[in-house]
Amino acid sequence: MLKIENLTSHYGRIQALHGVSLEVNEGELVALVGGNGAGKTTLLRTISGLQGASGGSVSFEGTDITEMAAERRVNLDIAQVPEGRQVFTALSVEDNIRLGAYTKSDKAEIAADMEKMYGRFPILKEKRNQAAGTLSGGQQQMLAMARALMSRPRLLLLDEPSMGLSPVLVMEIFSIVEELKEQGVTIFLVEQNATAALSIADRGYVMETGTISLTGTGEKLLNDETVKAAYLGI
Amino acid sequence: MTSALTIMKREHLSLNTVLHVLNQLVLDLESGRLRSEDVDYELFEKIMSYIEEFLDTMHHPKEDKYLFPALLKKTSEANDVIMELQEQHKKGVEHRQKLEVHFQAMKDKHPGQVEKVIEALKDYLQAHREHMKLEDNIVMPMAERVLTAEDWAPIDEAFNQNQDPVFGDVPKNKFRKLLSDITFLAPAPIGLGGGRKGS
Repeated sequence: MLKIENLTSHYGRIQALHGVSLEVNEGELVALVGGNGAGKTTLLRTISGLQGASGGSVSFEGTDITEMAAERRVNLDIAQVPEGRQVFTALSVEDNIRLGAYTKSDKAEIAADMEKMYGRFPILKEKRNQAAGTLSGGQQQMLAMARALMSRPRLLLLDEPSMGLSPVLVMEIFSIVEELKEQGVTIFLVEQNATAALSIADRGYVMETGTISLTGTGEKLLNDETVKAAYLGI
Repeated sequence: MTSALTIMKREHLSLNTVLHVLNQLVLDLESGRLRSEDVDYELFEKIMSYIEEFLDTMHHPKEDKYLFPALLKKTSEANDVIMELQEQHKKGVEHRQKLEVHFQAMKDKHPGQVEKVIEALKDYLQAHREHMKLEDNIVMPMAERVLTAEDWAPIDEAFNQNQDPVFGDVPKNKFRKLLSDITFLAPAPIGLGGGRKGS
């Protein structure tokens, strides 16, 4: 579904991605783990079109989208939950969710999808009229996910969804991610919490200083001595 | 197939996650941030259900039926530690009964029960931590060392038939729902703050 070949990206003269190649097949949950500054977020931003590529290619369902504008990629049913939630703090919870459907025009469908989001994330229903900026970190993460799901993505890009959350919230988020996968959403999950991410992933990639250093099934990577030492604190 | 050791580690992670919520509630009760009249009994009951049902139906049966007998058969080194773990299982029942008595008394507003509940909860948490520590630091490394691939095959198969509560396949919906409810009810920032003292 998603194919990345020899992708490079720069911030000015600084090269952040050094020829990254990876694949995410339809229906898969693929995790990308690695430390701070490895280039994980840059890679996600390059996939969603928020960061330009300086070389290589990004293909989605066989179409080269390397040069395609970010908003057009949303129309291909690719959605991103950004690092740090990035909710619109001054807007209400409800308006934030509704904004996720800005590419849709069928009002009845949007209303039905909003009810689905309230069913999946009941805390958002309770807080629907509150400004998003008043929510706790966990509540904001749920909101960011609901907003992304409103576009009915077939490929969901998740950037550090567990960052700064308590263990039980992390587990809840990952449980929701697993449910989404079971419902057929293809997921590319970028995480520093390698244990949690690899535990639910079909496959994983380890990224270091802008390159992929290791790949394998989630379980294989969880039991890999290098990964254990570098990312799992074992 | 997921290895039995990976499943055990995941189960400990799941259990630790819920114990972490309970520990936070104990700290809140002790510091007065959570007043006894504001205690969300529904949340406490769900936490206790998760822990107890998880241990009774998912975790201990696999250890008792498959892992421990295999270890005992392989090395006498395992005798003392497994005896200690089984002793802890029995003590766990006592801790749980004591906790239920004090909880009910606190619910019925009997005087002096808050302190007793706090003490019983601390004992309960400590017992679980010690139990897991023994398994993580002694039993699992010993199993990795002494059991062969042939020994592991039936253990792995049994563990895979009864997977971990959140990400596994067996009664996952039940445990997922319980965990979701706990997350929803627990006060923020530990949970989502959807309980009676929602934030």
